[in-house]
Amino acid sequence: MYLNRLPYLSVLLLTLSGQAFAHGFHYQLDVASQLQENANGELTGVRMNWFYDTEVTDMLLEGEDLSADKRAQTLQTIGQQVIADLGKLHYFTNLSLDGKPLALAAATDFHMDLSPDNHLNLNFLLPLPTPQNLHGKHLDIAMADSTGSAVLAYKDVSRIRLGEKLAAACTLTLQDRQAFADGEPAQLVRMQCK
Amino acid sequence: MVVLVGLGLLLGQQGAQPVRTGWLAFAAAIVVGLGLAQLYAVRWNISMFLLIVAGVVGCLLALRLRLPVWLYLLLAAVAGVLLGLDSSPAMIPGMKALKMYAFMAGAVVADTLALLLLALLALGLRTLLDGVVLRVLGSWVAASALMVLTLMFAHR
Repeated sequence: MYLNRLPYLSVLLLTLSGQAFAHGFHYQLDVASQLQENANGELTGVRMNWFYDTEVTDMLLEGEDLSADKRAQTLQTIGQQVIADLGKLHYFTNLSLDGKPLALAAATDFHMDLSPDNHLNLNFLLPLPTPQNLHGKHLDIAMADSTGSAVLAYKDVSRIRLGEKLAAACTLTLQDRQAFADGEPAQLVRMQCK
Repeated sequence: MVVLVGLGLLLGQQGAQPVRTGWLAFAAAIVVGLGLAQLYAVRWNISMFLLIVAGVVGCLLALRLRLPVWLYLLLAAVAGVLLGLDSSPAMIPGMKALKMYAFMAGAVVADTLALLLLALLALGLRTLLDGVVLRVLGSWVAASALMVLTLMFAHR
């Protein structure tokens, strides 16, 4: 008698086990950046603005207290944890100047927010330890998650903003890579300066 | 999933004792696999190895051979480790450790229950039509695994 019901039960359980197959899980980070400059027109850092997709937003917020009086504190605590973890992953960001890697200092001035359409928004500044003169050089920006889960991408080149002096001297190109493996950047940004 | 179906049916085809020992080996191995996945990020294509195991399991199921203990234990252990590696939760910065552990526990429970249920199902079917039903299912498992493997290589 019970044997007749086993196939139905097995189908049900196999359906439930779907979330066990997490390998290959990817999530999108919609990125906007602003390149920071000092009074001399030197690059001093990159301000990042990341928008998480709703799935990861739900995963990060699951079980968190988002009541009106705790919301800001909860989001800031999550932001703090995200920044701490990102520090171990080089903030998913690699800068190189004329092909030579540029060191990044620890992220500062971070802020986590939740948009009305349920997207977490992380904003933080990645300062350079020393300002860089870009005159006659090219700066490459490649963003990738070395664990292979996050895919970071700009919607278009307008999502990268430059300071006034850099905008006058440099041109930006955004190249979408047709094929990329886990852990590799989906796009390459090049800023060529006169 | 095809490796779970194949392995579950194969254990059931072998009898009650193989279901018990094979299931335990699988449960232990999937925990080991999940643990290994936390130690280092797996770079190689686990799906390909899972499909190879599924192909082997499907062929053995279709052949309906009496297997030595070491062979089905080995298959259960290899499948468990590979599934554990393949089921590791995505590393999302900011995700609390408790949520990761809950996710991994869910993966272990779902996979081991699915395997057990399939094995029990096969245990009930092993003598039906002289075992032809399970042999047909075995050939489907092998064919599915081989087709996906072929497509994988064709796209390279």
